[in-house]
Amino acid sequence: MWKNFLKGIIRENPVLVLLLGTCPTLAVTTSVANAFGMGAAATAVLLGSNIVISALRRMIPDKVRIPSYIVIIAGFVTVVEMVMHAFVPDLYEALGVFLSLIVVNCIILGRAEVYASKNRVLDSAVDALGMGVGFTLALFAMASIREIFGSGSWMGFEIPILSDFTIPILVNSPGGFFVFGILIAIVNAVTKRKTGRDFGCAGCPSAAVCGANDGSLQNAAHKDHAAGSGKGPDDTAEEGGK
Amino acid sequence: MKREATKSIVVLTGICLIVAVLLAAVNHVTAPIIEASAASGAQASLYVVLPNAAGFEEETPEGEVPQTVTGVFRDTGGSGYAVTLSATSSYSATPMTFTLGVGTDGKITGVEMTNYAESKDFGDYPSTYVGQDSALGGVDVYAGVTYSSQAFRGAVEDAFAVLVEMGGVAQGNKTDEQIIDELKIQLLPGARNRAGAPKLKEITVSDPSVQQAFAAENDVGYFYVMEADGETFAVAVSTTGGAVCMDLTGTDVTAQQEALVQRALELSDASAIHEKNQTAASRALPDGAQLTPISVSDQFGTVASIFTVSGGGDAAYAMVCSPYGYRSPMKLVFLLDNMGAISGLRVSGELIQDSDYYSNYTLDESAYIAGIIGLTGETADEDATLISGATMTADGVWTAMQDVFAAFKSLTTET
Repeated sequence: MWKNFLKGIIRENPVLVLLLGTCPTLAVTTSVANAFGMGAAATAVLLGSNIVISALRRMIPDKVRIPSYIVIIAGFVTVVEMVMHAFVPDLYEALGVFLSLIVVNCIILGRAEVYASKNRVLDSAVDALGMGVGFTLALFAMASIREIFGSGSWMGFEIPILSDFTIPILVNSPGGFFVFGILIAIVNAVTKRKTGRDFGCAGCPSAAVCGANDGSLQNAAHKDHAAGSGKGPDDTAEEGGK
Repeated sequence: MKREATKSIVVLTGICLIVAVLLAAVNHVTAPIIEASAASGAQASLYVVLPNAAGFEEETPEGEVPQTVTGVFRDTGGSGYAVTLSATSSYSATPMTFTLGVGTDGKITGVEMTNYAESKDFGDYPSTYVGQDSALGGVDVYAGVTYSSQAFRGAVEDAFAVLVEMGGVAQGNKTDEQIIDELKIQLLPGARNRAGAPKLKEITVSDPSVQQAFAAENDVGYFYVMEADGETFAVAVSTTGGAVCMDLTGTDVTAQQEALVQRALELSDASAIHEKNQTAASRALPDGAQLTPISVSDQFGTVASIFTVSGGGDAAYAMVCSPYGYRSPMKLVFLLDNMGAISGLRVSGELIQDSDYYSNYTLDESAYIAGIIGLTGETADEDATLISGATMTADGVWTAMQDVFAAFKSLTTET
């Protein structure tokens, strides 16, 4: 279970390894406070949707699984949005449209489709927490670099000396891409040294789940699911890997 | 197969219902908190614009209050008023909301934006209003953000109108230049673009009574600043033959200043415009149709030329209009039958003009025009002119159509 949680932090980090959720990552990482807010909101949605989707995985017919997931995810996003609007209005205003856009965040739908729809509730919850923490840490790292060097502050507190020598481009889009690229390169270098994995489908951390190692990107689990077994091969794989 | 489909429908419907119930429950809890927070936010903005206020009491203005004015609050300590405003430009569906502080001397003490969702940044534009009185002599529209700043200024004017009406503040004094700018809009409304700004170019006229002369960029008329007996007058002449004269207090003196008006009419030779429009109108008619330009004396809208038609089938009149759309003026030829019903509409060029913006926009123009044919002044409906995604163009067509019906009414009344 611990391994399941940790994989989202580095090995399968949704932002820096799987390159999902790039849009909010670039948009909200101009300040650390916003990055935390977005990370917390996405984690809450991820946790809620993963638990519900996992609990309903045998009930939801394969043909309507994507619309069902989207309705569930949109429901959780709206709940988070209303709660934030009521209790942390400043953060709600700061995150703006990107809060609503969590609905279409690939991390959420990706984990629902790849993991929660084939695994038990507890495993799905742990996976969601791991991915959520990984997402938040990636945003935190990126936002720290951008805010410290771009605005000369951290969490809104001005940093002496640095605040007089800011690099304004870092808080603009080009700077965001630049920092994003650097972080991806660092994580890639670290994980490659550890695992020796390479680019391409076979080297992808999600290859085992999506079935690329079988020579096909078609998810075998879905075939099984559609056939009515209600349990894909990944149930076994993930459970065995605990 | 059928069982599977039924199960899919039942499951998806069930999920939707459960999510709806959950959202309703959360909304039940959060909505009052959000409402209270918004109210306290608005209250906080009152103190920002009137920092020395002792407290605020909401006032209820008498008479009709413009939609832009959402609240008027009086400082119980007597330092002035705070007005909450909501304005919408054509560019944004979300209204910009702001609070305006006005001191008892009638001058703006502060502006606090409470929501701004326009596509372009306003910069420090709102702060340029601080210190201005109701004349707003020292502020202009913000270059590059014309529509939003026009909406902003309009809301501020509405706030002052309400405060002056209430007797809360005194009316500021406008300069002659400001009054003339306002008369341009009032006397020649057809020359306004969609942001409401008069689009006039200055022209040279050699006449001792003319101080300044302007021609509408969309060829609907002329505007003169003239002098007689040491007094300044504004004279507007439409290319359809209308003329009106006002003094700088806003009084219509057309009858009293007959000589001045006659001189303005003589200076406004629109024959070249009519010739050009006759060519455009003839394209909307069968070969051999005869067009004769005619005049109406009281139209100052977007109709640039009116022709009687003979040998043009159902068409008895052809009216060429130049309303503003998204950017430059459009050229629309309306054909009307004897009863004033639209029997034809021809658009010179593309109706949706900005191919860069609407690069993927496909309007079935013939179907659009078919929906307009047969309408009369009584049956005309704005919905018929609606073009989804091209609001400003649709507004232009609707304005032109209303002007055409007004011109027809004048024609039938005058003859």
